[in-house]
Amino acid sequence: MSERTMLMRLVEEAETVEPDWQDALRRAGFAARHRPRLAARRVLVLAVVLVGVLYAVAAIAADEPGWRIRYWLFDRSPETYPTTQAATVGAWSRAERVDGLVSTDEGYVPNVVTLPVLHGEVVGRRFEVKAFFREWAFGQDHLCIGFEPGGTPKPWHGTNVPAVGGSSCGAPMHGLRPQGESDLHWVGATVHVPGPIEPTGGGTGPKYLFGPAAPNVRHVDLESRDGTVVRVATFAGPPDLGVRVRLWVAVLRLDHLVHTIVPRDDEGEALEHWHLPSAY
Amino acid sequence: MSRAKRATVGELESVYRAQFNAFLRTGTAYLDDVDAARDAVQDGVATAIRKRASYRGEGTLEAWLWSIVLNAIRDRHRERAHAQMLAADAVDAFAAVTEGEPMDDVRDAVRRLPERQRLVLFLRFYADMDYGTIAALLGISEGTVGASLNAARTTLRGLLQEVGA
Repeated sequence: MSERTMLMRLVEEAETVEPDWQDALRRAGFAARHRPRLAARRVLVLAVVLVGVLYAVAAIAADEPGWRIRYWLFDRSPETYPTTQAATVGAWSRAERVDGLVSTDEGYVPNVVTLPVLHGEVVGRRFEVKAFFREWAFGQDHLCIGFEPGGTPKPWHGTNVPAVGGSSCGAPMHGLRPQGESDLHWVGATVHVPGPIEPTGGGTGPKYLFGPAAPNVRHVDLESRDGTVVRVATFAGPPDLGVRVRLWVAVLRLDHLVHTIVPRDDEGEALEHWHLPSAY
Repeated sequence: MSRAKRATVGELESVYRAQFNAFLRTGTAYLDDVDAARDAVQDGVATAIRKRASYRGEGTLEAWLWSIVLNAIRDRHRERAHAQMLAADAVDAFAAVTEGEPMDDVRDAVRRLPERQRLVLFLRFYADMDYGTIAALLGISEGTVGASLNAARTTLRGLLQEVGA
């Protein structure tokens, strides 16, 4: 028998004993569980608490715009636009809208086969405008202005459908039907906001103001209560509408409220001060 | 063997698991009792866990843990020796019961070795340590390790020849 064999036989009982780390930890005064497991449990508890807090914050933020994180952390407030604006426009065209009729999602088929379309840009933002007459009740035709920010209509608008991002018809305006309105203006005005609007009136914006203008209107001043005036130039409407009309488009911050519209002729004279019943 | 400035519990566990059999073999041989050896090893490791902050990376973590476990084994031996002195009859009874078993001669031969020789022998055979590691652990020179080991083996062989093992 070799020395090694003899010595190993002396301790052969030891070979049957397994290490017991938990026992060593207990003797050291540690909790029953291994520390990393304890740390993992703490992380889990923290994660659950964090999710709960985020859920609560999200719930509050749904009703309280002041909690919106993007307003806290990022300067995402809408940019300021020039107070003097003039649209750069192309030519009116009917060619884009002669391929047939397309129903809307609701199943409406437009009764306008062709209508003039114009592409333009104002303060770097592209848009598309349509202008057409639409038969209204009692045999009266109304001038309708359609407006599409970005210059690309949504697919369901179809080739000939006058439905657009924003539209208005029948502005009570001098020189245009409907005649007989008691409160005629020199311009029509419609506001369109393509993005979401926060409950406080904030949002990503911008908002677009547009509308028709009488042939003698060369500028439209958009006045706010704080004295800010945004002046926009008008441009010619479709030549083949059968009526002379001009159009205007303005781009504003979403929180830029317009209280008074002042159309001006080519001499700069104010044709009216139209105090809006509610700010645009 | 890697060096670490501070010992974590996880690192200690790794060394403990890697060295457990060597710890227990050494303890069992030194204390002549596997249960007492297991208890001493576990206490030694527990002490190391508590005092892990005192490990400064001077030497390997294995050597640091070995020194603590070895101290625990030696402390347990002293306690047992003291207890056996107080209960000599019990020792005699134990001797009577175990008398005549084949490995008893070997066990007695090892038990008669001087403590240093026994430790060197155990660490060499049971922990497979080289001379340098044993020397560092016991605070002696490598030459002393070699001499002690040689003496132990010579003595052991002589003793075993005497008892006819």
